Order: sequence, then C-alpha cells, then structure tokens
Amino acid sequence: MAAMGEPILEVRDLVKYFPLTRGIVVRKQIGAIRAVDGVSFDLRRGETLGIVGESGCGKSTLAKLLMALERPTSGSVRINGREVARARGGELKRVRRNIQMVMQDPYTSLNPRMTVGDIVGEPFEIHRDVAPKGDRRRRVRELLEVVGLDPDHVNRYPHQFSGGQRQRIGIARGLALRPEIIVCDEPVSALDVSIQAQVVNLLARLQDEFGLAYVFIAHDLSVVRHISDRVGVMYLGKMVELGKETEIYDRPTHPYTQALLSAVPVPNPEGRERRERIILHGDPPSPADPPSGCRFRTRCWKAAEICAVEEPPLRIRPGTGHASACHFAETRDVTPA
Amino acid sequence: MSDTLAPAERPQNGGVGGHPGASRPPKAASLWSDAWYDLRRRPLFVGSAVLIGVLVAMAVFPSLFTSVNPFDAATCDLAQARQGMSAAHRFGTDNLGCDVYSRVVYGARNSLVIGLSTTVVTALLGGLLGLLAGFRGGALDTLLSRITEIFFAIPSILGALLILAIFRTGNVWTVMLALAVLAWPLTYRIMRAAVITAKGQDYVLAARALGASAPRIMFRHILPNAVASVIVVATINLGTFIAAEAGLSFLGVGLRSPDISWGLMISDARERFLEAPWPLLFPALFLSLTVLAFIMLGDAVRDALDPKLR
Repeated sequence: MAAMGEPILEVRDLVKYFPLTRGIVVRKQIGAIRAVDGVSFDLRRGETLGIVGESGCGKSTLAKLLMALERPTSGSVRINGREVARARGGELKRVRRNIQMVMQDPYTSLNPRMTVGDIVGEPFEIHRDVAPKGDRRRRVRELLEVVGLDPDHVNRYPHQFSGGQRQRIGIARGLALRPEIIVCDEPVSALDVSIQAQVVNLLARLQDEFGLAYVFIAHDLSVVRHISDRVGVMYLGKMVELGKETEIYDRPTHPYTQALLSAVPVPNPEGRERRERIILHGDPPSPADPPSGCRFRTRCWKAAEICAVEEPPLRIRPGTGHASACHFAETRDVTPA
Repeated sequence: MSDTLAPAERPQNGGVGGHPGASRPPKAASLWSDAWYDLRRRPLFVGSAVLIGVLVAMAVFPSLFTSVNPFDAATCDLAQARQGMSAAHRFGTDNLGCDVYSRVVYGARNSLVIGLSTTVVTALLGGLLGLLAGFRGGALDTLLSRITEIFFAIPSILGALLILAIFRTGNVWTVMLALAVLAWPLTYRIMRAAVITAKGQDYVLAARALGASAPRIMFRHILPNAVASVIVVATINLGTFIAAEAGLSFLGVGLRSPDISWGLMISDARERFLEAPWPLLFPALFLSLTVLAFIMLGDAVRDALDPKLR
C-alpha cells in the first residue's frame, strides 16, 4: 500500500439522529434514530480505512455524512482542514471534487437512460473547469481504459453491461475529478464472488496509481482485511474498536469484534475444529432506544454493572496496542492461523 | 483484467431486434439522438407520423382535399338530405343535405387544434408542476396536491359547463381552456408519482455527490426516467379531449354551428343514426384514426426513450 501521509480526512464526534415524528398536521418529534452517534477517526493520504459492522449499525449513514449527502446533527468532517459538514453552494461543490463515492448497487447507481460516456463524463460537465470541452471525450475514454473497460463502448447503455462492468463504470465516474478520497459503500457486496476479487484488485491498483485514500465500508470481513490498512468496527452507531488491520484481526480486544471474527468461515477443516466460536444471542437493540452505558452490554458475556452505568470511551487500553471501547478490553485470538 | 470479461461485453439484448453495434453513428450518442436514430427505423413511428402528417395537412389546407366549401350554405341541399355514398358525395350527406366528406375535412382543424392544444397544455402544466412537487416535496407538494384534489372532486362535465358558462362563448380556445383546467391534475398526479420513484434511486444520489445542481438533476436524471407514463397518458387523453369537445357541443356550450368539428358532426348525426349512419360513422372513423395515430406515436416515442426496449 501507498506510504502514509498526513491526515486528509478528519472526522470528529460525528452524530446523526433521524427524528421520529408523529402526526400529519402538527408534527411532533417523539424520538430519534441514533444512526451515527459520536464517531471520530482520521484518514491519511493513500490509506485505506475499512469500516465493518452488521446491518443497521450506521455504516451507510456514515458514508452519506462524509459525502455531505446528509447533514450531521453535530460534529465535524474536515477534508484537508476544510469543513464539509456545513459547507454550502460553491464551497460544497469545490469540496466534493476531493471526495467521491462508489455505491453499493451497480444496477441502480447508473442512470439507465444515459450512455456510459455521458455517465462518466458528467463530472466534467458539472465541474466545467476541470477539463476543457474538447478534451472531455478523450478523458472519458481514458477513464474507461483505466478501469479496464473498452473505451469504444462509450455509446452503450448501462443495461448492456454485467454487474462487475457496471461497478467499473461507477468507479470511473468516481475517479473523473481526481479526488483524493473515495468512499466505497459496500462496493462489492452486490457482485458475484468471482467478480468481487476483480473489483477489489482494481480498487487496490487505482490506489497505487493515483494515491487514493479509501474509506471502505463492508460487512464482509475478509474483503475488508484484504484491502485495508486500518479497520474500524461499528456497533449501533458507535465505533467500538479501531486499529491497524493486523491488530484488529489478530489481536481483537472488544468482545463484539471477537464475536464477529469468530464467525468468519475457515477454509481449513482442522482449524475449524480447533477454533472457538463465540455465539451472540439476541438481535442488536433498536437504535431509537439504545441501552445505557455500553451499547453492546445486552449481548456481551463480560457485561458487569459498570457497563450499564458508564459508557466506555474509545481509547487505548492497558495491555493493548490500539483503541477499544470496552471496560474489559483484552486480547483474545479468535482466528486460527 | 478485461480479457476475463470479454464474453459479457456483448450487448445482452443483441438478439431482440437490437441494432448492430458496427453501424452506429460514430459521434457521441445521447439518449435523444439514439432515440431519434431508433425512431426513424420503426414502422410504427413512420406509419403514425405519415397519418398525423396527412391529418395536419387536412387541418391546415382543407381546400387541398376538397373543392366544396361546407361553410357556403349553397352547397347544402335539403332535398338531398341523408343520402348514401355516391360519386358526388363520397361520404354521403347529412340531415341538412350537406356534403359529409367536405365537412369531415374542414372539421379536422377544430378537432385537432382542441385535441392537440389541450394535450400540450395539460402535459406541460401537469408535468412541470408534478416534477417540481415531486422533486421539492414539503410545503409546495402539499399545497399543489391539495389543489389538485379540489379539481378531482369536481365532476368534469359539470366543471366544463361552469367554465364555459362563465365565458359565454364556446370557441376553440375556451373549450381548450375548460378541458385543460380540469385535466391537468391527472397528469400532475402521474408525473409526481413517477418523479418520487426516480428521486429515490441511487443514480440521483450519485449525481448529488458529484455536486450536480437541482435543475440538472431534475431535467437530466429524473425527467427522462419519469416522462414515459406521462407520454402514454397524454396520447390517450388526446382522443378523450376530441370526444369531450363533442360532448360539450352536444350540451350546447362548446362549438356551435356554423362551426364544424368532428364532435359536432357526431352529435348532430346521432338522432338519425339508424336511418343514415354515414354522417356519424365518417367523422367517428377520422376521430378514431387520429387517436390511434397519436397513441402509436406515443408508444413508439416511449419505447425509443427506453434503452432497454431498443
């Protein structure tokens, strides 16, 4: 992976509550879905930060907040020191050049009534000063070539391509403005397994070529491990553990991470028998009414009285090398070698 | 990496009447240029366009089609009333002994103008307001939707009667206005629903992430994906409007003799239909042909605008 530089994306105490309202004429707020509740992290130049967690833990909301597609309830997102969360108009448009997105579903993320050339060329039409008019078609062909598509297919429509190829079109669109950061929201989970590797490898190659930094959101732990330098684990809107890829996968300290990792399928039958499976009971609690203290305590086997009273902050715990949000953080190897 | 994908790169609909890739125009394609390229090769489109062309020519230059001027009372002969088809009167004669063929030709103008103008006004007004309401949502949407509900509550014939009674004169434009005022809420509803569906798609989110302006998102991403159902409804409504004009004429608030329209002819002829069917059948035939031509045109345009159906 590329050499690490200074932080390019700084996220601090990011919070997004979606209000729950009742009534048609007189709207009354009766509560809030705490989709993202105080997430902080840095992303360095050329680095990949993987974000994992189960469905509904706030991963996709986090992606939308980073892209300024949703406005945060509080907290800040800075790109190169510039505040995104409150940027508007021309300022927001300028910021967006530096952060782009690859979406989950390649079947709905491309306008079915636009040609591939128009889709990949649209960034140049929106940001007209990036490429002079006569140059745009050449740039589009170049981009298609970069992502491994035939540039002669510019006049085709999305439905004429396979899922993997559509995802490449989406990646080409994201690359057009030469952003420094790309937020990948489950970029491969809608693809066949055989195609997933191709797309992940393409993303890795583009990272080296253009020095991109990725926020790579996925629920597939092995895909995240493959591409990430650092990994953050989310549970119910909170980051519960954050560290280098080897730290998270080999020496997880948060019980939730340990449970997640113990569920990864092991190809070697011998290892399968020796390893320890941690079975979590129950469903994650509702984000509209999260438990007090530690949010994981309702499903945690270590839960004690303090967990219900005091919320464990995400910080480096004694005896461990990386940040964890557990009062009883301790290393435990759950993935057999 | 691309070599592993080669088989999938063939267009999947190649066998279903898709055009061969090699003969495509080499310049940059767009939805509209591709649609036009496709339309010119569609028999349905060419057929309906020719038919519409003939009807429009009839409306603009009726004297090209007949030498008889039906506005001249001298051409009618009461002694010749309700005659069948003959060399002198190709479509026979009506209750007053006037030549049905020349009346059908001259009636095309009023019927087409009412049908087309009402359709255009309805589609533009309902379509634009629906696009705006669906896209913006919020208070604007609530306001416009409640207004349309008021119109839905008015029985259309009663409403048109009221509007035309206010104007006191039934001419082409007041009839058009009465029909359009009552018909736009339906188009609005359909457009609004289609826009709301399209607005939630990921490609709209992707465009926003690129920094696309609201007009760009509305007209480039949402409208092309929402316009299909409006086109279909508009072309079907066209026939309804021409027929509704007949209804209003029958009630005495639409066009009046000596004006000529297909609707007027149909309503004049219905009392003696069993005795003399021609004065009713021929304008009805032309009305049906017009409606059919526009429905076919609408279908062809809708299909051409959907890349998956090409």
